[in-house]
Amino acid sequence: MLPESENFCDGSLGRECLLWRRRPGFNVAATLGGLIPLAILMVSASAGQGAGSHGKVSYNRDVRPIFADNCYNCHGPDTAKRKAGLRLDERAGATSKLESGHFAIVPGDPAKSRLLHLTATEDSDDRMPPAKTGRRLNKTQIDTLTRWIQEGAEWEAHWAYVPPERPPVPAVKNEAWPRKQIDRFVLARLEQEKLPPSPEADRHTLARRLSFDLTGLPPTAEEVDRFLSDKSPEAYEKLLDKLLASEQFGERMAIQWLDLARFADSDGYHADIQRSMWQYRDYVIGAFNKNLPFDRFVVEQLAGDLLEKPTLEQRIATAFNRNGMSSTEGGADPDEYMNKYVTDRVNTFGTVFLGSTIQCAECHNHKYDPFTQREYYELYDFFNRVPEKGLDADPAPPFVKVPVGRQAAMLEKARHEASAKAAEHKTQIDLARPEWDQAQILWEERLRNAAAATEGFKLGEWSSVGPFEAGSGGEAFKTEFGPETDADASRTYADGKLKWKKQPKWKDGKPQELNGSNAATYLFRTITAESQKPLVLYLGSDDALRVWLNGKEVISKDINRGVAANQDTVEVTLEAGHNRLLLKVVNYGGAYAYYFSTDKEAGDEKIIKLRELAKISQEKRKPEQLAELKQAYREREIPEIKKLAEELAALRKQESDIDKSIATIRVMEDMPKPRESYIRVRGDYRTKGEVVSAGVPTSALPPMQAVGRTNRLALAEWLVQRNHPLTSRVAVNRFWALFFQRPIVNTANEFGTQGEPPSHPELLDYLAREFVDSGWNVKGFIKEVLMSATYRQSSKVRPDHITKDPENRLMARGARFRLPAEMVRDNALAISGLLVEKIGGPSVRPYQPPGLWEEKMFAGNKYELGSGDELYRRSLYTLWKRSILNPTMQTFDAPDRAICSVSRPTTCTPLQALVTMNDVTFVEAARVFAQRIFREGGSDTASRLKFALRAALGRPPGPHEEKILEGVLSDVRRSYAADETAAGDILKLGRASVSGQFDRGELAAWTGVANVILNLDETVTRE
Amino acid sequence: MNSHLISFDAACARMTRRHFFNRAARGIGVAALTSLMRSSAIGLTPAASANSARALTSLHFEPKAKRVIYLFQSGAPSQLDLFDYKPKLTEMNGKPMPESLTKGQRIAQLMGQPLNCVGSKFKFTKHGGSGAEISELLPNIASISDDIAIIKSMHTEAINHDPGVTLMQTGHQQAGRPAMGAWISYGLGSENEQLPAFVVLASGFGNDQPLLSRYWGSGFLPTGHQGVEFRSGGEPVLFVNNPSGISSKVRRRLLDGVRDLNQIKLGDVGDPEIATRIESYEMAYRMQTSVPELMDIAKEPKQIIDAYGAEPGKSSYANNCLLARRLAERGVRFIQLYHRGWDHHNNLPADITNTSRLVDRPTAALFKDLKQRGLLEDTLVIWGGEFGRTPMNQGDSTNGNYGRDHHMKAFSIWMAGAGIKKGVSIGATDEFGYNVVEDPIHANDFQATVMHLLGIRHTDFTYRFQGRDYRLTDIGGELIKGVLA
Repeated sequence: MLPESENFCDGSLGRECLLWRRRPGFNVAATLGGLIPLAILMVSASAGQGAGSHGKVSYNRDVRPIFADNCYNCHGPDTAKRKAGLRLDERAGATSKLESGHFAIVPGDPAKSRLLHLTATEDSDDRMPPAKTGRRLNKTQIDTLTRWIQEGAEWEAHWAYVPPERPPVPAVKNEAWPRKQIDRFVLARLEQEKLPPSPEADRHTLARRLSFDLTGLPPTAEEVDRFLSDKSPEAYEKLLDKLLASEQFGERMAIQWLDLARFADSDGYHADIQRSMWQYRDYVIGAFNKNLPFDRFVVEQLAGDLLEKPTLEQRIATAFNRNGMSSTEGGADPDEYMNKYVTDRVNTFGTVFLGSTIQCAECHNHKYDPFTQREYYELYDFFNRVPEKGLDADPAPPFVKVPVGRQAAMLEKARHEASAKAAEHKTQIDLARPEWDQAQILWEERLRNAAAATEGFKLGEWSSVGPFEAGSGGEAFKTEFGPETDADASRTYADGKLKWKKQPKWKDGKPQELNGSNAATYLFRTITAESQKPLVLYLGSDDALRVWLNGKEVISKDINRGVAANQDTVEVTLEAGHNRLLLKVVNYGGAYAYYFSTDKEAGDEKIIKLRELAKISQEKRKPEQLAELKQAYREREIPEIKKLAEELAALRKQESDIDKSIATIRVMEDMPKPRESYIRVRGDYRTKGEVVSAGVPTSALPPMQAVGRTNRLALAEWLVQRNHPLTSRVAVNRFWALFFQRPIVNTANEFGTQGEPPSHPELLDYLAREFVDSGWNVKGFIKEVLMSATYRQSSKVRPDHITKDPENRLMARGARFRLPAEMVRDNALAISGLLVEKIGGPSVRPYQPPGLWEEKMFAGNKYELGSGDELYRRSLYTLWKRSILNPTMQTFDAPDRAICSVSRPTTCTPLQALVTMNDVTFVEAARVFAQRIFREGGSDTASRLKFALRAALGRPPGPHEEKILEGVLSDVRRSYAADETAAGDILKLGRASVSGQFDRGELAAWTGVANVILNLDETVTRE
Repeated sequence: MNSHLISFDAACARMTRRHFFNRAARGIGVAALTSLMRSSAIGLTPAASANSARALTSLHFEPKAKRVIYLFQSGAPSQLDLFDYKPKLTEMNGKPMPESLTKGQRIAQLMGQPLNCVGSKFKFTKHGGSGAEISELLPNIASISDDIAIIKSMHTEAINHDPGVTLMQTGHQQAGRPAMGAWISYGLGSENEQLPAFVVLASGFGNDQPLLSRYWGSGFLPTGHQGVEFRSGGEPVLFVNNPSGISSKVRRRLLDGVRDLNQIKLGDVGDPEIATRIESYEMAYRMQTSVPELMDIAKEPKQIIDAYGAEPGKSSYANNCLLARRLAERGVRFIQLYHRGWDHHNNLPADITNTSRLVDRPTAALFKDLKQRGLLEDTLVIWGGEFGRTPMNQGDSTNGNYGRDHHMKAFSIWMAGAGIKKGVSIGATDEFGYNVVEDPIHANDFQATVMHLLGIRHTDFTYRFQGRDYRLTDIGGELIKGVLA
């Protein structure tokens, strides 16, 4: 089959959108029944809420999943695909008379409900779903549907589309445990599952947990000590408050948001050119640090530019919608890419704020959720008003300049100086000086004469032949290859391999590159003169040059040089008619080029223009032409004005240099007259359907409350309307995952009907309501969560945890997980003392194995290692190149941010072990950590080990641990004593200085111990 | 150290078990599940004893191939100068292409320029019993033409490199989907206990089209399935070498310390993740010897090195072909080569000659080497790029010079080895080589066929992400029946 159009995801092409079906044939529980206790599947699937045989059937819990999996494809919200006029996702559609005259569902009357008959029948011709789909309802499912119809067939809206209401706080048996309301929701569920909560974690674990969770860094030993010795009941809260108030809080929170905002330092597509967007990263850090209410955070990022008198910061915030990938690929269709940019904005909007798969409606109406394709393009229209080009690199309009430090003041000063000088200059130009005006007439005469010298003859097109290779430039210069004697265009040379070739693109008056090395190239052209006349040739060459006119040599210069204009000047006489000019340009290796002109000032476009002006007679000159000639004369010929003009040019250059040095950032702006937005039929950017205008999807979501505006600001305000069911839930769900590893809605990127239901629906609603009612107070929300008993639980794993709830969805224990990529590195830097805690600024280039960019990217893409502090900044400042991520980051599951990413997986691989074992970042950290141990850890092994573990883990070593480390130390010490070179080598790794005050063998041995400590599971784990 | 049966992705498997529990109830492909339970591909090797009954039902068909070597020719080789002979273009050289073909069609860099035919200046000859017409640029590949299946009717909907490669490798133009190798790694795991299932080798430098690491990314699959790059220059796997000053003996002693301390931790907190980490360190240690050994092609016999034209110590396509065989021998599932250097917009005659010289001989040498060792029987070999090149000229056309722009309507690839019919040619283009006129094959069809050969029904091998079941073949995929033996 040869599609007429693109292979888009659409059934109407005859290719059914199979993706939308769950495939039959994989009854996992049955296949693996012997391997996995069924109980686990139950708990992890819907956290124990399966339909029981008693109690009322719930549409949302029990019925919708059956319909969604088996029926919605043909009987769902998508009108285009609907069969038999039956719609099962709404009561009205499901209970009305069918085309056949039957009723699919008659509430309360299973016998009359045709749906039950057709799903149960053994007749495969009649049965639903149709046999060709390969799916069939099982008996339990049919029983559930029967009971549901019997009980009155009540439809419920999908939970996520109903605004959250503050739920009643559930009663619990163990009144002693809860500290916060949150705990009652969690405990009620645990009591139901007969899974007791865990005790509070050790104090040093709590200190470390709080520190990682709130700052992304380990606590210092002093912080831990202070917390351990503070016996007051408020000790925990005090520590929490201190960490929440630290500047590192914003850096920690930014990691998650930057994944969502697909923030990166490069364009992403094709050549993956670097871009300046770091100011956005700093905005995010700052917003969290100053506890910008989350609703403001949303509004500023979506529509900061549309706020009244937006601040620079608010405009920077809108870079959220310019962080998407962009391309400069040659031959790409700008319209195609523009469409990609806008759809990326819509899809990101849907994922980040709505937790919805709105992107499914790019090509067709959503199969399961109430989003039509039209609604998709109505959202598209909000984001389709940016005055951007389809293909563009930095600075890609619209952008703003963001001065830092003294840049703004310097620019102001330079502007001022330039305009003062400009005023002075203008006075001199305007000055009435008749004697100058007289002299100007003569000057104009000279201009006309110079122009005449370039006239009266016609230059033919260049032809060339070559390169004629020789052993050396000198040999090539001497050797007569043929054209010297006869530059006949029909002749070929070197056994026919070299032929004369026309060069219509070669331009006089600028150096022209040639191909070849240690070779000669011949250039030929005719010069046709009206009559005999003198002519001056202005020549240049890289390297040697010989010239013949009409067969007679006029210059011969055997030289090794770089090309420039007017290196040689040759006066010749043209004969009337055709003259034959032959150049031989010889290369001595390296660059190869020539320069030719018949005008000394060929490169000076201004002069050429002035000559043209001078030719116009006085009375015919327009006022601006008169002014131009006058200014040019005075600037060129009157010394004091010439000086003034030069000074002005220098000042203007200074101003422009400062201006250029100020970093830009791409931002959002709406065009005064927006483009039209169309439905793109089947998602094909070239197939424009109906024109649509901005609007929000209202089939399931509330309409906009704002009146009179339909721009991004209205869209942003709609998101944070009090009755919006998604924004707050989606946000608190993600925050929750930072502290418990798993979100409450496990599919944090899909709150629609195909997502998983929340493990604790009431808790989610409680948190969402609290969050909004607190004024979207992020720090307040986090404090509430972190003060809870649920959060403070120990993360030790009990046997019943593994059997009853291996994923910890019920939260009967604290979360224990490997640190995210950034924190793995930051932790090592912090422990060693190398970490440089500077907030914000352009992205930096820490260690990276050499050659990675050079091997894969266009030539010229070189990774230039940073220096000094840049090597030790926190990892969120590491240059994020989308096509080749820093390998340390990538190995620890950091996403490339090509698209918005909601959650990172947490893997454990041998490649990660290799990074912390061998990456110079970590080996250098071990070496510097060893020095720190020597300086601060006392002088005997026991006190040093104690210091080292307290620095790395916040706790002293246990007796076994101490013994193991002592064993490592003495063995490794012996190795380095026997091999001093090795000791010297390991101390050379990285750029940090080596202290001369310690014994090198000892330092090397302790570097080994430090390497062990930095590689411990506990070190890279938040417990 | 006791090191029995700890595999490269055992580590991944353990950690993924969480994902697994999570997804099990939501229905992921069984093949994927089994790989999580056991590292070896079940049903593929006789050694997969005890559980093989269940495992066999887990693959949808009897697999023909155990592994894939995909020789990706990045930049888009000109099918019209290599495999798809069009005398009509030579006849019409310099004359306008018929407007009936080009009108309203998407065009890349030739936008707004005259569209004139350009014939290949290279000689095409019929080869072998199959009579495959292959140009003089590929004499060595021509010599194996009776063993390969050439598909001349590939088409795509991407006209630029980045989306083009992305589509061929991930089944979709947009970034974010897993690469074919990642799917296979996820589905079948590794056959080798010590190597990743998906290995990437790249060659070509300078101003050739860039290679973006997302081409071998894991998309929404667990990140452990992304391709692991093995480099024939520099460190063979990033960070695999001990830093200078840490000998293998010291490293072992340090790792013993790490292991012993982690064991204490495991006993203390009982988190199975710690056991996974302990395993991952042991695996890493073994990789420190097995990877450099694997990458050391200097140990190959001289006649083998010469046959490939390999140069130990350098980074080249020839070296990578030889490494591909070594990886295949060791049971790596998906060996993805990339060679940059086929984007011949202008100066095509000179440049394609050069690239062909670098690629032709090693490719054929690899094929013959696999065949001679019996590896070809269960190894699928694929050769091809991301799209084709135009029958229309681009750039300088004097003195026999010419160039070709991107073309998405038709291009050629070839497949060979496990389960592939020998000496056949599938599909045809019109006399100008502009449109496919017989047996059109889309990227998704090609991907479906690769899956099929590995024993997987592509429509049934899905992964749920954002509430949607994704698969490699997006919404398409028809088997290319004509290439199946």
